[in-house]
Amino acid sequence: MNILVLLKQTFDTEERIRIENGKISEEDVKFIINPYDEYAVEEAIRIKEEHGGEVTVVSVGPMRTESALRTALAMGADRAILVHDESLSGIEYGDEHTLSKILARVARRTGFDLILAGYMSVDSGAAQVAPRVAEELDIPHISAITGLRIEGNAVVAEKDMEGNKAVIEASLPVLLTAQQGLNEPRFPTLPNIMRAKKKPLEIWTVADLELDFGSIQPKTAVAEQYLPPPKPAGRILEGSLDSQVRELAQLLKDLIS
Amino acid sequence: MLFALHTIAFVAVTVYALYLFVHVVYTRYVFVRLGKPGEPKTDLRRRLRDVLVYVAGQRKLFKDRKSGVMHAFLFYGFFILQAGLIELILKGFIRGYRYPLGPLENTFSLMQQWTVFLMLLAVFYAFYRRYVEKLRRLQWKRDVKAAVVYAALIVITASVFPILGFETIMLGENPDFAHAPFSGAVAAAFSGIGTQAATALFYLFWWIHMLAVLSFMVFVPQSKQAHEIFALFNVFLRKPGPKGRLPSIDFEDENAEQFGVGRIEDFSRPQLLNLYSCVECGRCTDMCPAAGTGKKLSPMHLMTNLRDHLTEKGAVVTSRTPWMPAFAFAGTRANRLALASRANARKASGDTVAVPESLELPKLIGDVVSEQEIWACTTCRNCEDACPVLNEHVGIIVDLRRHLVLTEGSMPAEMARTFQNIERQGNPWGISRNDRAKWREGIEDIAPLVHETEEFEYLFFVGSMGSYDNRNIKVARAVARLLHKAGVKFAVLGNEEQSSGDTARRAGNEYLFQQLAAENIETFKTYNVKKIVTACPHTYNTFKNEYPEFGLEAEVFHHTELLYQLIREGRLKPVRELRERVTYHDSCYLGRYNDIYDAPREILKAIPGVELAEMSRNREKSLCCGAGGGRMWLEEKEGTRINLARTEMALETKPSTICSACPYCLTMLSDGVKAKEMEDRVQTRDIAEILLEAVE
Ligand code: SF4
Ligand code: SF4
Repeated sequence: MNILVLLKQTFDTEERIRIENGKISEEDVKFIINPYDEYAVEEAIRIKEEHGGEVTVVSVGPMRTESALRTALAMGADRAILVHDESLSGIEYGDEHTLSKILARVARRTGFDLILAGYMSVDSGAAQVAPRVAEELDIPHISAITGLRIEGNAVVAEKDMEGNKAVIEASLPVLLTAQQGLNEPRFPTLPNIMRAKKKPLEIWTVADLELDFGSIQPKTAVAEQYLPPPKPAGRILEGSLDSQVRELAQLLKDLIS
Repeated sequence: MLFALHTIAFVAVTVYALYLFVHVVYTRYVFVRLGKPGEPKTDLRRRLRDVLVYVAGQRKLFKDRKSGVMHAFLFYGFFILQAGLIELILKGFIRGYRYPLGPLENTFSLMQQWTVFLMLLAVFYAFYRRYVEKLRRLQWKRDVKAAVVYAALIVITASVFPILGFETIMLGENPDFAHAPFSGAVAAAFSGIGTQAATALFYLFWWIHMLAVLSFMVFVPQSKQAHEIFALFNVFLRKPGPKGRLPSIDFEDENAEQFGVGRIEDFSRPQLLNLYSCVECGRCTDMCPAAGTGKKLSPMHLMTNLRDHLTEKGAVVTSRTPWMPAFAFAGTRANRLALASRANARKASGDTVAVPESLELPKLIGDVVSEQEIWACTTCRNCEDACPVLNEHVGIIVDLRRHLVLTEGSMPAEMARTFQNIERQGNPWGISRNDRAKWREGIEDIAPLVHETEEFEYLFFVGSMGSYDNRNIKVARAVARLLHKAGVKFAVLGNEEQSSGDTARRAGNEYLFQQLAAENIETFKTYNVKKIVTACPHTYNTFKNEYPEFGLEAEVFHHTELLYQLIREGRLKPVRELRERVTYHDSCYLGRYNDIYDAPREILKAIPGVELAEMSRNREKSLCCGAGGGRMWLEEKEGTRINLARTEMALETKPSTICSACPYCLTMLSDGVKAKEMEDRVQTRDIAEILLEAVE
């Protein structure tokens, strides 16, 4: 089975965001595989281990993304592709539109039976790229799955529905996005880390993909980046229960008006 | 004719026994050789000293006084008895033979008689301890072999008196009560039986004695008594360096496919020698916090299970039968495996033979030792400290962890998360490394950062607990205040500090440890650090005993050492009276790893009003709090909780304060006190906090 995993490198979830010159600073930041994408990588490797096949991880982004791709290789992916060139860094890798166009083209090139991705990235959190890729490729998708079984061509996915479970069936080819709970990603072993260092990393450019640069221009623009205002200190109401309730009601009224 | 038969029989039996003995010992030697070479042996003087102290001096054995005395009688008695063995043998061939010792003849005789008698008593006492007193540590391994040892020793010793007694009658001499009191008594009791009967009985007991001695000789290396042979070498070949130092892995080889120990032969030879040296005395398991709280891990069974596995593996690899005489023990698994292995070799070379047994062995990790046991260890060295033959259980366990973590990537999920957090943010919780210096808030002026101050004598390495853990932040601040008060010039690394790597190393992630060590040493060099002080015994231990291998040159102090020095120099004056009854808990990494027992006690004694109360297990016997070796970050669901066991011991002393000198211990003991709902009456504090209160 030919499995493609869409992967993004994001800030470590514990990093503190700093704004410098009106933009998020990447200086001295630790990067990780987007945690939801990590579930996707893990699931892809498990499917490969059970059914055989090849796992290709693909990302669009700056050269630093290499470390995330190498981690995926160390976990057990077979092949890594990074789409990167000057024109893309010039438009800061565009937006969800740009990425989905590029990734769909990559998928056509590599071929696929199954595409896996995280259901969203922890940085921009739009949860759009993967479903858009499915649309571009004209295949079905199931998002935010927490369980998966594949038998022959049949795909049975589970997802949480407000405490209940939905079971959704589809058949290959299909695109699935991973939610927390799908699996527990493995800890890469040292020999695999060493081997991953030696595996080739393929760099593809927009030109390689024969994409019209005009057609992948972003459709949205970032107007401004700023930190949320610091939380004002909380207050603990005092006095009798009645007076506390009255005070709370008054405070809420003031807030609305 | 009869005499010739007697002689031939003795020679034949002796040669056969010697053959068996050599076969058995050599077989085990070959099995040990299956391991990897140990680290180079350099410190010959220390090794010789170890042999003097621990073998000749029996140092560890006296931790258990009664057993120690018993063992010393048997140990020294054995040598004295051996000195008389040749004489005894020759008596069987040369009528009335005695060593030509001239005037010392009688003294020698007296010495032999008493030695035999005392040994006999010692054996009976050993029997009593195991079967009547039912000493707890001797109940963990029940098999018939221990009883065989007692029986053999009783026969060997007790047969000496009738031999000598009947000899006296046979020679027609009078009993010499002055120089041969015990055999004299036998001679006196049987004086009427006549020389012929005495001669027959003399030879009967002579043969009983000789057969017992020879069989015991063959039995020894095949049982726990093998320690009589292997323990000496075990002590001499022990790995060099400070206690509990872990050998490092060389990561230069990029094609290495395997790290740590996944198969028995991946252990080093000195480690495999540990296995055959184990006496099954149970001292280790008796002291082990994991075994003591109902966990499956038992350091003694770890040793014996690995040993039995090595014997089977050795049989398969070398085709040698470990149990001799082979025909008598044909049913043992290892002997059957050896024969099957031989058949297998013949089959491989084209013969048509059936291989009678599957050569498949249980898996080292999983079958012989479970992952559950491997992760239960707190690396506290309670076991190692107790072990009379100086076995090193912790290194063995960490080697198994290394295999799990590095080669297989298999570990509890919390452990993987902890590694990942340390890797990314330099602390076990994964809290932003940019928040590391936050503990200084409000005392920035007294605890300056390295680049904010012109010069500093000490680098105060705060550690992850001191930097992020709310309770231990208070300790870090108390240490800073004390150093400041004493006028010590010091600085901290702030956000440039990161994990020391102790957790990573003890939990098997040697790769992460070496990465951290290299980075930390680089940082120390950048700021020209000459002296380091830390409030964490784990950090202290790894900096002091393990970092030098990676290039650290600084001097390392634990805060108790430095604070005690400052008190002695009069730079800190504990003048305020504290009316507290304090019990001090020895941290494993401060005490058993680094022998620091007195500095903290001296600090407490220097405080007016403090009354020191010792727990039942203190100093090198101190029970671990349960947090070492990465256990701090793992759940403890098996059995009862170790920290509760230790807290209960502390509470037995009726303290008003439980004092520790380690951030993990502090957390564990204060959790314990809370669980016992005693936090209103008993405080848990770090020694620095107590001292600060007394100097203010
Ligand atoms: S180090 Fe401690 S926990 Fe580990 S086996 Fe030894 S006594 Fe038990
Ligand atoms: S390892 Fe040491 S302490 Fe433990 S049973 Fe064996 S000899 Fe005794």
